[in-house]
Amino acid sequence: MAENVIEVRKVDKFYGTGSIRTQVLFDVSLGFERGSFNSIIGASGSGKTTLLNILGTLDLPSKGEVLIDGERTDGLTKNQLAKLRNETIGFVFQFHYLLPEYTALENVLLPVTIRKGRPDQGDVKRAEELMELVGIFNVKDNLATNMSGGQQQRTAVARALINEPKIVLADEPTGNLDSESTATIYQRFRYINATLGTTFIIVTHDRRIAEQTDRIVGVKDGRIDMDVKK
Amino acid sequence: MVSFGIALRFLRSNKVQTILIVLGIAVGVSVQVFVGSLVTSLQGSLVDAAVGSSSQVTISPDENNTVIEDWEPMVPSLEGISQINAISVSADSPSFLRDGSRTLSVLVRGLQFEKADNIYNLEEATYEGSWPTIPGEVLIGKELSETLAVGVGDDIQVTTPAGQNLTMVVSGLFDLNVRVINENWILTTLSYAQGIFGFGEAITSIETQVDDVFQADVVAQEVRELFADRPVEVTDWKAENAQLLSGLESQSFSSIIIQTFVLASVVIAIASILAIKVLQRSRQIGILKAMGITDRDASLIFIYEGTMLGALGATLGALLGLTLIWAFTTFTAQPDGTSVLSITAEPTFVILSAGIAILAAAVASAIPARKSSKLSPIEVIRNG
Amino acid sequence: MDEQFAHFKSLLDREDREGAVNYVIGLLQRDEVDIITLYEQIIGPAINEMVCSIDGKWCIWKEHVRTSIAATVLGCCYPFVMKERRERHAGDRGKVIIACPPEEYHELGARMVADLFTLCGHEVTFIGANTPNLEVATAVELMSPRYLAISVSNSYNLFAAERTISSVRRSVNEKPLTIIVGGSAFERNPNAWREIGADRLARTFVDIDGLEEG
Repeated sequence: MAENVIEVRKVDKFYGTGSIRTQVLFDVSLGFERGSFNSIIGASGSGKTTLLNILGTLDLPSKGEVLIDGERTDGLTKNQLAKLRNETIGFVFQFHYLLPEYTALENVLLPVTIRKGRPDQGDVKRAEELMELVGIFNVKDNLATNMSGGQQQRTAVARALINEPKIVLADEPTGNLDSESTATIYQRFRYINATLGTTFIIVTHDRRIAEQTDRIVGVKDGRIDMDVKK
Repeated sequence: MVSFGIALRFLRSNKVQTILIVLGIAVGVSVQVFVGSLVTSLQGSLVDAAVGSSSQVTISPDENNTVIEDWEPMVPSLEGISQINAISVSADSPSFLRDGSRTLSVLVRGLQFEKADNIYNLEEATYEGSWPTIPGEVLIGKELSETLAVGVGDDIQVTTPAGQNLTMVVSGLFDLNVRVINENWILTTLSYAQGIFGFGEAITSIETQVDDVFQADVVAQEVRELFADRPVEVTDWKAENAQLLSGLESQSFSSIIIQTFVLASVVIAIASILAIKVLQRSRQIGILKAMGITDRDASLIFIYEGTMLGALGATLGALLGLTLIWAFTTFTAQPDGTSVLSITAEPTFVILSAGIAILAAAVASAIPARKSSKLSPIEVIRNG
Repeated sequence: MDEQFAHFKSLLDREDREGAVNYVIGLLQRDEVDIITLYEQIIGPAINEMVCSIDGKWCIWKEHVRTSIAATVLGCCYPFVMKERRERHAGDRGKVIIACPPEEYHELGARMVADLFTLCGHEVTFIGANTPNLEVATAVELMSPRYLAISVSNSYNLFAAERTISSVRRSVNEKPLTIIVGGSAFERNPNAWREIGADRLARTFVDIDGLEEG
């Protein structure tokens, strides 16, 4: 059995304190194999986004553990976690969250800049290749504010991939895109999964994406409802 | 380094905001430089006018004595004190001047003219005739000459306290810019005065000037300790001019108040603007953190922004302040070419002002920096 | 058998509708094969193994063409289904409704299952692909069948199937109803039938035939 590259064990998540506490996740245990291509589906408010954020160390579980490559994350320092988020995990959010002060190319290179201060030629080349892959090479020198929504989202996809992370976590990455862009992005994800062995976990409402992943995890009312393989 | 690059980009991307802040800081710094230099120069002029041409630290016989004996070794000792830059000994005594039926009180002062010149600018003050060379020759003041209606070459009749009647010849006239002095002092050679007053080789005072007039009291103390075993007392101009001093001090004080408020407004301006920037940029900071920027680097962004704004503003402000000083000096020129008040800007003061502004900017950015450090990516993402 | 399968498959791959129909009808007329073997070992596998060979990329349009051919073939088999039923002297085994969950468009499997149920003697109502939950529930309520068979090919539709089953269970109160599920989705997820609330999983004709025995 292949090892789990990312995993949560017995995770509870509460919001609020005292008498106005709501529980969003109930005893969730879930692991994903290295190199797998997965989706998480569920209704709004089911807890799937919270689960994804906890998987990606952006949020902390109230109880339970998160393991990445077999190592628990609760033992890591803030800086080690930052390093993890920079090198091992790539995020694609529903909203692009590009920095408006930078061009598309610079945005894509930001994780590299954070990692080593100054991207070198090899990094720029890799960024350009990724942008070519997602089809935004022609706007690479545009300021982030000077692109269409679809182009911005694709820039965010390229940015998530620039450090060649082991795991890509995507939260409704095609939520604001038309069907053509959606199909393109999906194809790119699959290509990268096939060539680089990157593990993908995609939270989505879009059945076109979900039904083309290899494993679909259903979340309902904060619990894992069903876990099906395609 | 990544923080610096991001800070620079943030500043460049919103040029209007950046320029406004820099201008704000510049105005503050320029006010500080100008006002500070103005007050300092004013004080300098005032003090110079008050005590620039008089003794600043004076050694005189103590209450039990009338003269200072064996004074020669004292001079080299005084020369050993670095602050002292002029030493002049004198043998003085009040006397009476007979002018027809009336009698005027005068002070006859026996001086070493070259030495005394260092203190009193006698060379400049002497506007007619020349200094006394032979015994009996005297220099009298402008107002006295007018009162007596005597000029160079004329005689005056002086009676010593001992009752001796002497005829003295006016060799020159002086104007020391103080009416009382011009009316009362009669200047002659040291040896002649010692002779007519029966001082022998003794003198009645040693007058000195110091480099930093505001340190006169410190120097006086040094001199006091130097001559502790002699029957002398040491006074300084500060002790003798308490009112002037308190006036100067309150001026300094108000200047410092102004500068403090200016500084405070600079700090508040930077802090509030940066606080807003953190708020405006919280999304970007959250994303950067999701991408793996450390808390420290995130906070450094704002420290760099604040410091750069401070540096730009301080430099601009210093230049602006110096320009103001130049303009003031140039455009208040009087017909004779000199200006009403010549302000000099001391380099150390300008650099210090700029430096404090930059430091204040860095400190002002500390709170926004802390906020940025504490921001968690999940807050930003959750709240869209 | 392998030969027959190979032949039929090649006809399907060549998208030869006429050839496929003639071949299958020929086999049935000459009694060279029975319906069960035909469905489970020839037509069924041929449909499941549909692969497009243009650059190794899956072409949806080709799948539709071949599916349509298979559907025509199945339609032409129906007289033989009825014939085999008569020969079996299959008794009356109760009503069965056959449907696919919403968004499930692959109904060939359900079609074949419907014929197999018919063979066994059930009274079959075939609703087919993409049936809204409430419609299934209404049909069950009105017809009071003994069985409800739900076919799921795409694993994604297991979630929808779960919702269909809960809709049905909510509306059916007293009358006994056995919910059976089947389809390629369950090949990859053998325990899913329990998770979605079904009573039985039916994979082969033997399973279908053995239903009455409990």
